Amino acid sequence: MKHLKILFLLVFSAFIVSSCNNKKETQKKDVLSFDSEKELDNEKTVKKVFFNLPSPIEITQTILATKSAFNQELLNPVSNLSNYSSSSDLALNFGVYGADLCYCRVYDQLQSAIAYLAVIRKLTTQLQIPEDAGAETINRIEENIGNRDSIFQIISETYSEADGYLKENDRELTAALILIGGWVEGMHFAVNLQSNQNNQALISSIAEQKYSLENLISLIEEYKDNGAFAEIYPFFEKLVLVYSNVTITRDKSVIVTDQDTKITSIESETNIQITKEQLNEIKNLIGEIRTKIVS
Amino acid sequence: MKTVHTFILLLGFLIGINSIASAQCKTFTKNDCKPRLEPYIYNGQLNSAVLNEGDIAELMLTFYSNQDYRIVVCAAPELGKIVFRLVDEKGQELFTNKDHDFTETWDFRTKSTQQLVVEVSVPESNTGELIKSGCVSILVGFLDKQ
Repeated sequence: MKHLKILFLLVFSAFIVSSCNNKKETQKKDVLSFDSEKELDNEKTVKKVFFNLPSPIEITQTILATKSAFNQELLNPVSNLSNYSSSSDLALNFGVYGADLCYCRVYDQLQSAIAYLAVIRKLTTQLQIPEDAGAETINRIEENIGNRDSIFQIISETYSEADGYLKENDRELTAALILIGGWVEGMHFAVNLQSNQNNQALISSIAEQKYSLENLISLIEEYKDNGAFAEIYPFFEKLVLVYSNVTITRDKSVIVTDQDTKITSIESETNIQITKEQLNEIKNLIGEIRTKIVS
Repeated sequence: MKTVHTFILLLGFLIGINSIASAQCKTFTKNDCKPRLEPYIYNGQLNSAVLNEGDIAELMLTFYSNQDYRIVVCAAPELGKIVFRLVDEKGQELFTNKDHDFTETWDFRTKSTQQLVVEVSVPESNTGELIKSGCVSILVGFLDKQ
């Protein structure tokens, strides 16, 4: 009888723990509300949904590909580090300074990159990311700062170690804040470079961030009432409104798969429509969000 | 009173198991999955979860124009042949690993920027045994073309 009671408690507990986890993660897949042209998919139950944003390396490489000139004045000064004390400020600016590091490295500004690397090291400590998760890879960045081939792999490792550690320790909000800080800084580069250079490739790149903004909103929606987002979330909502009027149409993709190289090419033509007014609004909103993050 | 103590101990034990599973998932991802991304640069975001047979997971991401990407879908062996598909925002299936012997790694080249979904499905075993569960990870890498 005693064993039966223990068995019952075991099964009941398993049910409770499992239900709590499933409640958080299970969701029905709805039509993506951002674009009314999307077709309704077959309704199915999805256990887990992940939302990824472009990494700072990817953002700064995209900017480099538009042949925009480097602009030192766009960087967040390292001296601002002393202004940040709350965990949300530290996390957001970890993302900002990470983007600054990538921007400097992509444009071969090695001395500046080293300065931002020192800032990243301090922020890793302040965010209580353990040495084995952060400092070791930062040391490797330092040793390889001049080697382009390995440096981006190592920078991505720094981010992945921090991201993995934070998620494993139920600090998903901090992980999200780092991503958002990096995204905002990347947009800050793009919108300010564009206004000085009137670069069509950059304009397209800015317009196409409509997609990553969609993922960003999904990522932070559950935290929108959290103090860390209270000041900046309304600006993101306004950004969504502006982008809802930016039109990106794409032909049906032509898929070509090479069985030997195991590469699938996805080819389609895109038509982007974004006005100067929309670009200015995006620039202003990004400016306001960034100011709140870095000041 | 003794029953209450037993219950609390068991509950703590089960919650502990959950945490251990999550930590093992990260270790599994780092040791078994991440090396498959090379020479692509990892986008740095950990997308892993413990899934049961029959479960579906999705990753929403953006592929940028004229960029090369690698997707690695890694799963604990006991889960069997994982199906992964790449679907665009209109629901058009761009790739399924069912057509390629359930490969866990594939490369993509995009001409224009678009929002995509990586959908991962764990097969159901129908063997009547206890439900299988294990770590599933979705990793994304991009090429440094400079």
